[in-house]
Amino acid sequence: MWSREDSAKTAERRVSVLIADPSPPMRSWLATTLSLSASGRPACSFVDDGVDLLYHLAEKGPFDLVVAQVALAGIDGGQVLAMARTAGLNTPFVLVSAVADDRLRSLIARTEPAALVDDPFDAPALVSAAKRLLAAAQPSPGRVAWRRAIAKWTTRAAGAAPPAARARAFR
Amino acid sequence: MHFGSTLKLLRVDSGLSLRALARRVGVSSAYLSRVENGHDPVPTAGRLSAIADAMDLPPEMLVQLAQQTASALVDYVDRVPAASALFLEIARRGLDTAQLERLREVMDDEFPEHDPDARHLMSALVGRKRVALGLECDAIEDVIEAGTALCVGRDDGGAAAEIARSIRDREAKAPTVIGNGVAVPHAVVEGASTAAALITLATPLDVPTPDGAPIELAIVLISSAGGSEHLEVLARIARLASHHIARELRGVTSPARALAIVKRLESLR
Repeated sequence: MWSREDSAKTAERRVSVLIADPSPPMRSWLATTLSLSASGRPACSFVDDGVDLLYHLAEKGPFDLVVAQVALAGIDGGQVLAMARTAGLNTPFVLVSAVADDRLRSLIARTEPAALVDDPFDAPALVSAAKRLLAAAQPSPGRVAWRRAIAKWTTRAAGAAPPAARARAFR
Repeated sequence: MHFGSTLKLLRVDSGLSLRALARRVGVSSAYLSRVENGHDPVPTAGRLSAIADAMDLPPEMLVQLAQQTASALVDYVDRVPAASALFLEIARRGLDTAQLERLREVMDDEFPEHDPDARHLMSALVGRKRVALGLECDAIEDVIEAGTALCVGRDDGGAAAEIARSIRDREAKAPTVIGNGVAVPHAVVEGASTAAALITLATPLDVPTPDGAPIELAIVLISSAGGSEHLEVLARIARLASHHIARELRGVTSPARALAIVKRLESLR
């Protein structure tokens, strides 16, 4: 039974995730995937382009995790990752791309903690990338809770279905 | 702040472009721009009402605002009588709009506004002395060198060369071509003063870019500190790029005009 006390405990250990994707259904699906598969529901913030992603990182952070499409209007996710690292921001990034080239893969390899998820992907692939990045990050109260939570992810994540728009891309 | 500046803030807050508001009011956008920039007198009460209607504001608000602006001027002249003599001298000499613009340039250089919110604005970071228009560059490395020299100065005991090297190294790892013809070579350099140089190119650089558009404009950015401040400046530049700043600056030859365009685009959401 979900109680007020449970709710308070969960609120204490909520992990902040910034999700950047131009598609509203995809943003919802990403948030749902992370929420349904974690015992502590992450607090998700959403942006739909690269410029807002930069603004959010500058003004609303710090975030425990960023999940971003590479193909974003204004400035792409890879550029944002590189700029964040130049600014000294070490927030883990999961970048999603259907057209990752060698340059992007090389950038991600050099800018840890970061991971590339090739699109199309399924929920466990996303969760697995987030799990690996957060496990490698420095422990913080939020991240310790996140680590506890992600232990349950892999088994539960497969239950979350992608939105129809993305599901078409799977075929 | 003169009436036009406040009108501009209200317009931007209403989410209207200059052109959209002009169309709704039935005036030319050039006229509205002159009012916003203080080059034309405050519109008549009837026109103020039409402007207020178009922005979904109470008409009396703009009328009162116009009166308050006039009263602010009277208060200032009361407090600083020498200002009155200067205003009269300007009137006696009949300075035109272009000459007043030059006077404003001197004021901006000598007595810049101390607005803490403006410190991250590109127009404030660049300033007219760090604008180079129609530069001939064969490669991004030339642009970086020129931009660094504008930001730091040449006679600096090698600091400019060192900073240029930092920017080149960073650029080699992840090129900062962000689309719409804009590149943002940048670096965080401890001990340096935060500054930016705005460079338009005589011949666009044909290098790989996200949208295939060649680089027409480079904004070379040196930040003294990383973190959120640096990211915020980059976000502002990316916003300018998405407002097609490179296209807007095409063919511009006056640094003052270039900065005016930057300021206008910065006021857009």
